[in-house]
Amino acid sequence: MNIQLLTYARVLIPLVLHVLFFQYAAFASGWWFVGLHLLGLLLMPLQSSPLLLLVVAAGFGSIVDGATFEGGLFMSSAVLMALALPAVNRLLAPREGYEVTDQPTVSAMGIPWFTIRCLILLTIHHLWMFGLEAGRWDLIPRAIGKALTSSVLSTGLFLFILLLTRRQRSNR
Amino acid sequence: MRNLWNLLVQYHIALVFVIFQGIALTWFVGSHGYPRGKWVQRSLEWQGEWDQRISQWNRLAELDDLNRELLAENATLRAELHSARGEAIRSNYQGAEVIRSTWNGASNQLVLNKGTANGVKPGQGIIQDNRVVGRIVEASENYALAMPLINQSMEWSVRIGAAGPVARLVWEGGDVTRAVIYDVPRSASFEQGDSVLSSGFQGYFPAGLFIGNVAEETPDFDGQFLTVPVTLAANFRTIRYVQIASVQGLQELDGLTNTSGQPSP
Repeated sequence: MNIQLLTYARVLIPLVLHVLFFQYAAFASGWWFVGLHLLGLLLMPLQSSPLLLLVVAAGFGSIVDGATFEGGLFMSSAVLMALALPAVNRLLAPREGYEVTDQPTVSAMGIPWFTIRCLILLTIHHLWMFGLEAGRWDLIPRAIGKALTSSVLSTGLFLFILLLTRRQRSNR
Repeated sequence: MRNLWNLLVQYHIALVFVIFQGIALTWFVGSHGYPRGKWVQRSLEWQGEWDQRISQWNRLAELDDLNRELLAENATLRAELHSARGEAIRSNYQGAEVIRSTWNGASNQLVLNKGTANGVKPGQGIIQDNRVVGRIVEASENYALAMPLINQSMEWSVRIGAAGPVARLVWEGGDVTRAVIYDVPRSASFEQGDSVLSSGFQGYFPAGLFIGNVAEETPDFDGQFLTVPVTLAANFRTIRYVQIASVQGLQELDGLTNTSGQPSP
């Protein structure tokens, strides 16, 4: 498949699946929220400009908000995650920097890189989202618990999805 | 001017971030817990159709038809029962199916497969097997969006026991089987296990519908009023078939209280 087309598909398919089938995918009494659209954001090319990331995140978030009547909750969280994305990418960059052909996938960057990046970014997203949703100070400890649980479990799920769908083994 | 432009260029990411966050948070604050308006109706219509399709794939046709017939029959019988009891405010019921529900957030929702085409409108109450479930807040042509008891932005007028004090019930988040009643006078007489019923004052439901029981914990006392824990009766995790209540004569009652200078209940 055309590389560019594959990139678009990798970013858009999780969003479409989330909106159509997994909008309310939450397990363990709400302690595990699966935001499949976030996988799309995580798979945005490493060379994407910060501005593009913010615009795409705002678009993704508002689509999910529109579909779930959550009014800005997902948009706000996704935009925050997109702001942090370039910084996290820089933090985890290999010593020689990223190559132009590098993709933010398990097959290209390896399991440890993807796991740490995913965990950091999902934690940022979920802490903001569950904190906003809680709306009261006394529910914040519970929101933090939910955010951390969801981040760890979703990282595992995303890793599993990418391992199932990877095309080639890592050579890094 | 050039300096300003340079500043904007230099910090354009931060600026775009602030703008997007501003839009998102304004949207969140303006609509969270009580979404209303045209976009909600359009989204509701589209989502409702999609959810209906998903739901249809997953169910057995014969059982479903049977359930619908039973639901309609139940609604008619309930209306007749209320009428036979000679209640001051009469109500009609119509059956509906919950095609989407959330119960693990702070602002939980239900989507029903009945809309304005079926006479459903915002403000109508929803019950399940004589237990209060929630109320409609928005309706499109074929679907309705409802807020259940387990929504932090809603308050419900309830009565403890058949002739007990009237107070407000609020869900505080977390456990979907628990809520609390605020502002109960300390002189009120009630016991653990007493029924908590709808007062009928808000006009969403007739009076006397079951909401839950006074829980076993000791009520909190703030010096003036008691805060009473309640175990909710409706099972929000498994909810599927409900009845939409339509309280007759509500407009007439509102008109009466408004012309006499009293606030509407």
